[in-house]
Amino acid sequence: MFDLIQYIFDGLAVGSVYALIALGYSMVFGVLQLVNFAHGELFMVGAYFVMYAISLGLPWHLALVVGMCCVGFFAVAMERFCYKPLRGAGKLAPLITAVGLSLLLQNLVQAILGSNPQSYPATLPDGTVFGFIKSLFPPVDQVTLPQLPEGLFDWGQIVVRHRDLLIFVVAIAVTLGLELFLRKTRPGQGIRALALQPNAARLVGVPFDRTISLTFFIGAALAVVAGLLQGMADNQVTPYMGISSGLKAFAAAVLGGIGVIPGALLGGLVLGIAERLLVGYDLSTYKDGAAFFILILVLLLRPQGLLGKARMVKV
Amino acid sequence: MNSTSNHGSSEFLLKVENLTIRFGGLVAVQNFSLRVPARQIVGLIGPNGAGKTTVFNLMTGVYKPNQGTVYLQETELTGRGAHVIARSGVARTFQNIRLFAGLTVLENVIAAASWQRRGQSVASLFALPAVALKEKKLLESARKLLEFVGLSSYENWEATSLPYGLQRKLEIARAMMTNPKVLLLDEPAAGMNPTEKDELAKLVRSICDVHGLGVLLIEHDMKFVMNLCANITVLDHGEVIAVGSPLEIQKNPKVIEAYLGAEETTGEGTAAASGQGSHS
Amino acid sequence: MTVQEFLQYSILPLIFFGITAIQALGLQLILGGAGLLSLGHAAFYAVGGYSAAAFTVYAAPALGLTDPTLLMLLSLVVGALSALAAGFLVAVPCLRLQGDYLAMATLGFAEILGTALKNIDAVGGTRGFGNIPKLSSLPWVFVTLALVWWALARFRRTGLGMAIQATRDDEIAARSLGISTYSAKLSAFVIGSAIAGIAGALYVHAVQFISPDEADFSRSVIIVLAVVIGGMTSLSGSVLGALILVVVPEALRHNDTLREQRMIYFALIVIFVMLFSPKGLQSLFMRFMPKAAQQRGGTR
Repeated sequence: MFDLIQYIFDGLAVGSVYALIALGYSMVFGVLQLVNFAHGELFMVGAYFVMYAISLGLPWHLALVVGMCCVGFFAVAMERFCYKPLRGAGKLAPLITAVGLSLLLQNLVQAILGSNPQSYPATLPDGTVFGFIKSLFPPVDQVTLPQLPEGLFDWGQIVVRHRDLLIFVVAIAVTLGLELFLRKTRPGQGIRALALQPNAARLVGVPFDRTISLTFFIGAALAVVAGLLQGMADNQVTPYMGISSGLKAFAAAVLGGIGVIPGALLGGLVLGIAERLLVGYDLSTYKDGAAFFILILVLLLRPQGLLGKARMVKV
Repeated sequence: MNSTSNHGSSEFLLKVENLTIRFGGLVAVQNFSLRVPARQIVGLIGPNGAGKTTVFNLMTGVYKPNQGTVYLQETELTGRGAHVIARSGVARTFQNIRLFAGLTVLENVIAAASWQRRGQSVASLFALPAVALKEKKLLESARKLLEFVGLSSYENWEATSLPYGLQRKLEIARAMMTNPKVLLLDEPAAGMNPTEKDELAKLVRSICDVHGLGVLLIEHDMKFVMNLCANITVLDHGEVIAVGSPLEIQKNPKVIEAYLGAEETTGEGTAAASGQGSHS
Repeated sequence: MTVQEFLQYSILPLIFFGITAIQALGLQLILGGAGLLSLGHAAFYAVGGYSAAAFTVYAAPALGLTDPTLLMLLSLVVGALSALAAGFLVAVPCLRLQGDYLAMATLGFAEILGTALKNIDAVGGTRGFGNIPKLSSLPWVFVTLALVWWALARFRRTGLGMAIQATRDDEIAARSLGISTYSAKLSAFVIGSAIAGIAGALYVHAVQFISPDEADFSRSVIIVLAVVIGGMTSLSGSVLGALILVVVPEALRHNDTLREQRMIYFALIVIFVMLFSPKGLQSLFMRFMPKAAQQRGGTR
């Protein structure tokens, strides 16, 4: 029983990273009905970018902001030059282009920086980077949850790592912030309008191209946040981290309901926990298949996802 | 007017009754009824957004109606799959031309015979004599249809590289390759110049007279409709507001109002109100 | 290097080329023929390979079959049928899904399949399946390639072949002409998978080994690259693509940097092809042969 709860807590962290990546898939799919296959690579590029920025001496928060902007603009350029010319050319061409882009980024990074994993300059619990957060918590690698006075569970047996908690809190905060942005600000409402009714949105003056660019920018920026967190959690980055996490994040987006912001968070968490459970119960060889098993199950049984509403298909 | 009026003398091929479809809360088509007799051209007109194409989509199985029935002679087609309806003998063309872009003109027509060649794929793979004759006949009838619509010399063109007017004719030839009993034409004259329209009118007439089909056509060009159709149904806001001969329709105050009421179609409204069948 | 050495050295790359070409031809039917993106084509290839290997290793001795030619022929049938069945299982539910979802679902199925293969001990698990008898050879591969190519070229003209192409170009129009678009797509997917299975059977009996990595996403991507680079719409394009993907790395054998970076260039070519020349490199070559290019689309 304690194992189970422990695994669930452990799964929250990896699930939160999936969730942050899934948000980008979800938003882009919402406005363009395109699976931006290269989105996972933005996560990977972001992780590298921030890592090098920190190595160059930038403080972590500045490095993160610079990384978010640069990768964000890169994603905007990618859309402009590779996806935009293919609008109206059917679904196949942009999708194949996206696969090509993914392959390109992965191999470019590998060619430039080598395929060996690179160490992150800072780790979450200790190190200087998150020192200020560390100071808020007891100075240990593991926090023990407060003991409950009485009850069936001995909470003393469950340990939650510091960094996991932090990653989870960041994911929740980002999702809430994004949801708020999409509901309360004009550009955010533009994105929602485009996802709901592209033609009507254009008619009432939502700037189409700019809104698409904004969507790609935000998605990429969130992927960079995820990249930083993942890099710090694993203490390393590799050129291949994008493809595996990216595909799983896509599964998470579909699971939660693609185009639904809280859905991406829920999907990511469920997937992360499921994977952790498999590892915990000695089924780790099935771990990588699990995400896709869930993906296919959802596609077949409830294509709109856990939190999505069924949409009518236009003929 | 010189429209043939053997109305009532022939049995109805296509019989549509009380078709209704709602999209969400919007009633797109309500209680739509219509009959298409053999060897007759029936017109379906109405202002933009009246629901004409939706009616076609309901009859051909693209949408499933919430209420109502569609019969082709004795066969009920209501709510069947689009390909089942097509196989039963209802063929159509599309307002926004839908040719097969990757195929040549001749291949577009032959593709329409695909389902008639079911179960022969293995045999035709090895060119077995059992199907060789059938295949030859198929090719002949495809060529005949291309000749019929005047596209013989374009056989090997890529379908979408044809001029607009010819693409519409190719769609007609392709639809006829399914050996239909009823042909539904969705704005066949759109984008054509007057000469082309005259040719098209002759073509549609001979589809009826020579091939013996019933034709239902949606068209915005009133002169074209008034000249060609024996019977016209007028649709507005998803409901039938008038049925009758071209003369009756032109005089119908409801029709005039529907057209004049819709700002954008004033020009057409005048045509509906005063359009004279000047030539055939 | 003597001629003999060169030939000796060329055999394996040629076998790889032939097998990649057969895989690509199968995917061409799905991707170029039916317009469906399968990102799990290598999985069907692996299914075919594993089944064919299991047949010759376990089933054949039990049945007392020893004649190598007969065994190879039977294993081709086993490979094709098992991949066909796998394709059927994947396609029946997945074809209900639209475009992008279908691609992801096929990818998902391939990953699940790879995971499953890693967990089956009878076929070696993660270590791979070895000690498979050597039954196929270069002639086997090339004769099969020629037959598959020939059959697919003829298949396009059949009723089903036309129905598949019509479905690719416009599903609504195809249905309005009596074509069951679902069965057209299903047939394309299943036949394409079966062809991948044939390639798998040839592979295991030439290399005498197969591992779960063969079902990997990266393998599927290679096949997609071959089809797209050569030109999705033509069979010869797929063979050309396979030739480029297999021969270019071999030719770059002495240039390590270029060889390592080859995927970058392949990825760039794919993006370039999609943006500027959707008919692939083959159509670029055709431009240098004006007469051949004008045959199609010209007046006659």
